[in-house]
Amino acid sequence: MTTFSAFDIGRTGMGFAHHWLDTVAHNLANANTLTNPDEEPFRALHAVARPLDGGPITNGPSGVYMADRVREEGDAPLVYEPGHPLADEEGFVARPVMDLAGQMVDLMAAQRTYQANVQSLQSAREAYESALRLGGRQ
Amino acid sequence: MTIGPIGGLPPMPPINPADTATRSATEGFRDAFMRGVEQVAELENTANRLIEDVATGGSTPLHEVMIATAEATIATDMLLQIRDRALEAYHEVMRLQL
Repeated sequence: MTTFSAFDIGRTGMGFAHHWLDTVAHNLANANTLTNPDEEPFRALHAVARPLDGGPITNGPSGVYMADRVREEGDAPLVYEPGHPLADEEGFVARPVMDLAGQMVDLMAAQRTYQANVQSLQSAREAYESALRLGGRQ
Repeated sequence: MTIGPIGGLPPMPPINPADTATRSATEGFRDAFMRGVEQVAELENTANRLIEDVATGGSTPLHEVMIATAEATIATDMLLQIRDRALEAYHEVMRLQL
């Protein structure tokens, strides 16, 4: 626990939200990545959050980190587009394995996570500043 | 009934010559203050490095920079508060009526 432990913890939270936003952006950018049905389709990535050990009152690092990014399971939806260069003999192409509405919700959640961590940092800053004014003249 | 003579005053113990405890205390404050200055300088250096990295297109996320500058600001504020209070105490002693 350092002098600015609340800052350090908030920083890890913002870092995670930052990577989460990047992940969702990557998924959304690949919303139209079509593949041949014989190949592995694009699968949406999901961020996995894990706590740094301990808690706020131990000596070890506290906060959160992105442990992994797992790919979405499931079969790729096939669409019939016989003219497409990636279509197989029957005229099907595979769309990405991704839930667009779910990604939008994830985007909102990531944004709110970021804002929540900004808020916790802001509160910590205000607390430190008022502690500095303790017993002072002004 | 006899009254005993008034004895002489016992000798005054010598005043400790500006004893070492006081001196080491002042040096302790000076050392602690200098250490504080160094730590604040360290935080400012970190903030500067991150700002430079962002300004030159590095991969540092923006929030890291803002947190580092906030830390440096608060550390500087704290150092100033400590200096102000030490100075205030010194002035208070200087104003003592003897």
